[in-house]
Amino acid sequence: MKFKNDDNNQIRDRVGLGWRRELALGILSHLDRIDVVEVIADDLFDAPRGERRALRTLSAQTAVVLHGVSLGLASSVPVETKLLEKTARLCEEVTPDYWSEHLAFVRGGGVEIGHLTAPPRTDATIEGASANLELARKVVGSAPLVENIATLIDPPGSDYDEIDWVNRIIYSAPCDLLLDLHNLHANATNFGYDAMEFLIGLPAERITAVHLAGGKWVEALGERRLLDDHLHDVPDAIYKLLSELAAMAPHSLTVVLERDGAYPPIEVLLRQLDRAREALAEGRSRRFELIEKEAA
Amino acid sequence: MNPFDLRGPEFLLFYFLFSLAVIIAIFVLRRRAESADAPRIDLGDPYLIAYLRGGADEALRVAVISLVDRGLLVMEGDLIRRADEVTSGMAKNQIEYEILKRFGDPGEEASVFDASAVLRDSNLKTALHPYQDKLERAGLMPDAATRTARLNRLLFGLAVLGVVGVVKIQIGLSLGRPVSILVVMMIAAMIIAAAISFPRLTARGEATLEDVTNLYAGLRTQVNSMSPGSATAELAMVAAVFGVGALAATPFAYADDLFRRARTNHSWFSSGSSGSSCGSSGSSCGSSGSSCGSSGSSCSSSGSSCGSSGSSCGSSGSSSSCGSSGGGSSCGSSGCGGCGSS
Repeated sequence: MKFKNDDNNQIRDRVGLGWRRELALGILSHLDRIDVVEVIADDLFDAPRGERRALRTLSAQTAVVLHGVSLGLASSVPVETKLLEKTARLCEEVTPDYWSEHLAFVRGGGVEIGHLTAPPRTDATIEGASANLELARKVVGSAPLVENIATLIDPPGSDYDEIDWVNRIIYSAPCDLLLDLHNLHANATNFGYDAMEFLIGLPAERITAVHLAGGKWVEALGERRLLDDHLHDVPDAIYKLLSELAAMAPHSLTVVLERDGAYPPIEVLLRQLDRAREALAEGRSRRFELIEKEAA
Repeated sequence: MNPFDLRGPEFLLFYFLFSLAVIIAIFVLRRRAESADAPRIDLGDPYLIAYLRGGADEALRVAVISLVDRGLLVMEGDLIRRADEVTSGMAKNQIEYEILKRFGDPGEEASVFDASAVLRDSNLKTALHPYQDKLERAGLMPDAATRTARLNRLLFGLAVLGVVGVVKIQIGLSLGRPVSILVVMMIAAMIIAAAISFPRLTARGEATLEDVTNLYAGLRTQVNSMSPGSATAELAMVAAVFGVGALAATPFAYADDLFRRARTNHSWFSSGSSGSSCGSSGSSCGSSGSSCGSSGSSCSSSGSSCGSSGSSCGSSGSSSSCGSSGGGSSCGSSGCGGCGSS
């Protein structure tokens, strides 16, 4: 495995939590253990000015990143400029370290689906995503990190595997990847491929951020599926993937734990952050050993 | 045109507008001088937040509530005493330590309403001092330099108002005209200028308080699902951010009752230095910040409108599987349904 000539000391992985109002006290009381906070951008698009400004106070305490859910970038339908402008305004106000969105579509033919949906993996959606990402970069001023999504069904009409499709998009667009390891794990579990192979197949140098989450088993379409619901603890398999990623990535990673409900005591979430740190450290240690071996 | 040549009613109109301009200038210049980017402070410390919102009185209130909830202080009717077998050493910090000490040689009850004595307690004062220092260093409360700048601004404004008014009064007197309305206007303008010159918080402090209220908006709804003794940190922060009044009609209503009685019957906090009556109201004070210090009475009734915006999607952004799970029915119970997902 080839590595860039990075300096071990320059790698500063960050681990943090998704900002949820229910977690506000837990987060603000433990900023010594939380390096970064991820805020859902869409919640703030039409929020009163005071709520948006409060984010500046939050960003004075810790690093803040913005995460969007409604742009629908991975679509042959052009992204709505209005939403991009709102994103741009928010980015200007909050000055996040980065902003991110999903490789999903959320509307079509004027109909809002209300969910992140996996599009058919075709040349059309690759080209559409690429064009949308370029437009996003122009309007917002910076390109988003794009996130792989989980799906319970293989998108019909697809010409590519998920990994080919994702790689084609990030190679054709000016953006890096926010790798959701639980989405990866859930898809791999549901569609019978190896998550580790998928991970190794991604360009590590383009993975900048990571999402961790948990899920549960459900019955869907007569089959047992792993649902990425963000309501459960992060399973062990995710930490293994994270460790592997840390062994591959030549730069610092920002890792965010997403929890959207059934909130446990903050200590439980902090322990998961600690485990993420341990996984990162373990992976980094392997990476540095390998670099040293290669150098020798 | 020389304004001193204006006739009486016309000059009064001129002086009114002139006073207004001076007062606005004092206000704007102060806000401009005291505004800055959000500071880095410990937003997880309820006593610091309480001190920011309502001063020493509020920090004490929150500490008492916190200690009661943890069972270190016991309420018996109108009285509070240190619980049996509790020692000051069980306190988490200096302010709690001093309160525990204050409320109790074991077995001896001390009236919670005797707060004026509490505030005169030099040990308590010492315990509270670091909060004031932190807030001043962060530019959220006026430090000596800021207070001097405020005073200079006010003195300049008063001088301008005074010179213009006095010159015209002299002219009026020399011509045998009535000047009483002008005198009243001049005094009123000076009083208003003085009143707006020394708010308890800086503009940066007011903005930060409003931001804190927004960041903790979710706590207002959470407090109803908490039970006494199980979530002291949350309880303390609700009281700190929104005031004890925000605990009315919650499982912690005793706290509001306690301090309401204190406000009504005694001088618990009336001897405090700042905005105290506002502190326990929790209503619009929390979000307005600046009004607390100067307009306490308007905040005296407990309320609940503080900055709760409740965008339920704040807790969303979840499961991307929702998208392909057949209309998201599987997400319905988990709350990710209508808010998009990540």
